[in-house]
Amino acid sequence: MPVSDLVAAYGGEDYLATFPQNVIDLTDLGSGPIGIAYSLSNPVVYYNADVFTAAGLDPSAAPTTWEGWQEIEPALSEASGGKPVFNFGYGSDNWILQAFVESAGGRMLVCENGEYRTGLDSAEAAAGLQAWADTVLSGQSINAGYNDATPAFIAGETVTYTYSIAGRGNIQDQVAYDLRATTFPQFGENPVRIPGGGNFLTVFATDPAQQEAAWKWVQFLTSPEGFTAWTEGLGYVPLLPNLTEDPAYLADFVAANPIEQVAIDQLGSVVRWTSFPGPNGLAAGEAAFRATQAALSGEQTAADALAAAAEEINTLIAGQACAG
Amino acid sequence: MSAAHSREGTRRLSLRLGKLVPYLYIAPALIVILLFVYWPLARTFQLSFYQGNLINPFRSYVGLGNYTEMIGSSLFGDLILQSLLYTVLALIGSVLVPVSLAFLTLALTEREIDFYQSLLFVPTVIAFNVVVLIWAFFFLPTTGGLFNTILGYFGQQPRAWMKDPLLALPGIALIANWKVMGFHFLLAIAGLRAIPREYLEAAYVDGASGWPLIRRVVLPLFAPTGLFILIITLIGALDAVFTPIRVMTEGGPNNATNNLMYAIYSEGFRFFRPGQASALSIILIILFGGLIYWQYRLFDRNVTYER
Repeated sequence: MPVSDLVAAYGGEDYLATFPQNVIDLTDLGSGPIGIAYSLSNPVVYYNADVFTAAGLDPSAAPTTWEGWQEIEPALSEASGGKPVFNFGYGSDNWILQAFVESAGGRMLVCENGEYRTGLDSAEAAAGLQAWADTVLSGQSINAGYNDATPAFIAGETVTYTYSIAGRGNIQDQVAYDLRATTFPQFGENPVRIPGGGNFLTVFATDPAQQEAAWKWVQFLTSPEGFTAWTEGLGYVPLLPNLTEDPAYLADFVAANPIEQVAIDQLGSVVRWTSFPGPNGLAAGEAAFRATQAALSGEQTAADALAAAAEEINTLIAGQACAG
Repeated sequence: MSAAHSREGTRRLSLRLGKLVPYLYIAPALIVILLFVYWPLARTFQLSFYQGNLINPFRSYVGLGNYTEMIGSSLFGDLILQSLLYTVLALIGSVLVPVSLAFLTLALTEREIDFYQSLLFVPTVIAFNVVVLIWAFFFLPTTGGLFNTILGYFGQQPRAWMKDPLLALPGIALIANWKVMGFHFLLAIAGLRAIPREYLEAAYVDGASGWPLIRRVVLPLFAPTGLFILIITLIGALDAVFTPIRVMTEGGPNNATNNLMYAIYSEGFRFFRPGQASALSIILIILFGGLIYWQYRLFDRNVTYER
C-alpha cells in the first residue's frame, strides 16, 4: 500500500517529516514511496587490535587505503603467527564484489543507449576483483563464504574481516580480543563506493483496521525508540538524523561503540546495491558470483572470468530499458 | 418369475460391486498419488512451456523456449557431466562400500555384526543439516578446521576445501555418502541374512568355500537386494547430495558441485524462474526414466528372484 494512501487514511504527516528526503527516496520506485526504510548497513573492516599491538602498530590508526593495508600485511601476518590477515566473506548477493569493483572505478551496471548492460567487463572492474583474488592466491586472505568467514574471524583465525555493520552485535558478543573497525579501503585515487544493505517496512493488509494497526506498528519501529533498540541490538545504521548525537537515544551508545560510528562516517560512500534488472536478474547475479569464485580459486584471471560473466549477464538482462 | 429376476439382478449387482472392491481398496493410495505426484507432474509439464515468476499470475507462452534455453546454455553440458560424475561417486560410496562392508561381516559373529550395524547406522538418524554443519567444521578453510589441522601436522598449508573446484565435489560426496552408507549397509546385511542357511551348507558340503562360494552362491542369491540398493542409489543420489550443496556450496565454486537436481532448485527458488525449472525437471525425468528402464531390462535378464 503506498505511503501516501496510508497517510491520507490514518495520518502521519508529522512522522514522515522527521525523515531526510534521501531516506524517503530509498523506497520510491518512481510513483512515491511504497514503505519506510528500516535498516541500512554497509561493509566495514573489523580487525583484531591485539594483533596490531603485538606487531608494534597503533591499533587506533588502522589503514583506510588498500595500499596501506598491503604495507602492514607482513607485520600483521607475522604477529599473528602466520595467520591470513584478510577475510572478505562473500555470497551470491555479490555485495563484497560490488564494493571491490566500484571502489576500483568499475560499475556493476551501466545504462547505455536506453538499455542496461553490466560494466563487469571493464579493466577497472577486473582490477578490483583481481586485487581481492591476489590476496587469496598469495595466502594473505582466506577464501570463505559468509558461513565460514564469520566464525573464522570470531575464533581469531584471521586478523581482519570485511563484513556488514549489521554483524557487529553478534561479532562483538563472541570475540575474546580487542575488536575495532575501520572504513572500507580506498583504491588509489578512486572514491570509495560501497553497496548499502537493509530492508524496508511496508503494509500489505487489506482490512482497514489491520492497515491502521500495521501503520502504527511501522511508525513505532521507525521511531527514535524503535531505531535505538534496533541499532543497539544489531548494528544497523539509524535512519533518523541526530539520534547518534542525542543523549536520550544513541549518543552514549555510539560513544561506547566506536565501531558503529565507522558505519555512520562512511554513509556518504554508500551506493545502491546492484540488483540486475528483469525476470532473469537473479540468474544474472549468479553469473557474477561464479566469476568471483573462478577468480578467487585461481581457475581464471579476474578479467577472463568477468568477461565471460558479462557476456552471460548481458544476454540475461537484454532489453531492460533504463533512463540515460 | 419376478422373484427369480430379482435374485438374478441382486447377484449381478453384487458381482459388479465385487469388481469395484479392489479399486476401493487402492483408492486412498491412488488419490494421494494422483494428487501429489501425477497432478504436479502434469502441471510441471504445462509450466515448462511458460515463462513468469512464482508470484505474478501472468505467464507468457514460450513453446519450447525454456527447453532450448536450458539445453543451449553453456552450463547444460557441465550439469549432465557433473550429475554423472557425482552418480559414479555415489555408486562407490553408497553401493560398493556398504555392500563390501556387509560381505566382510560374513566372517564376524552375530554380536559383532550388531555392533557394527549400530555404529554405521548412527549418521542415518541424525538430521542432515546437523550432519552438514558438523562436516562444515571439518572442512573449515582456516587452520582451525579439522582437515586443515591434520594437514598442518604434515607441514601443509591450509586449503579452502569447499572453494577449490577440484576438492569441493569429492568433499560434498563424502558427506552425502557418509550419511546414507549406514542405511545401505543395513539393507545389505538384511539381504545376506535372508540367504537360506541350507544353500550355504549344501555348498560347503559340495566343497565350495572362499571366493568361489561368494561368486557362485552368495552373490546370485544377494543380487535382488544388490539391485534394490543400486536402484535407490541411482534414483536418490542427486537428491541425497542436495542438503550439503545447499548449505555449503550453493553449487559452487563456479558450478563445481552443481548438478541437474540442484540446478532445478536454483532456477525455481533462487532465480525464481519456474518455467526454466520445470523444463529442467522434465529433462531430468526423461533421463532418469530411460536410465531406470535400461537398468530393469539389464537386471531382469541377470537377476534371479526366489518366487
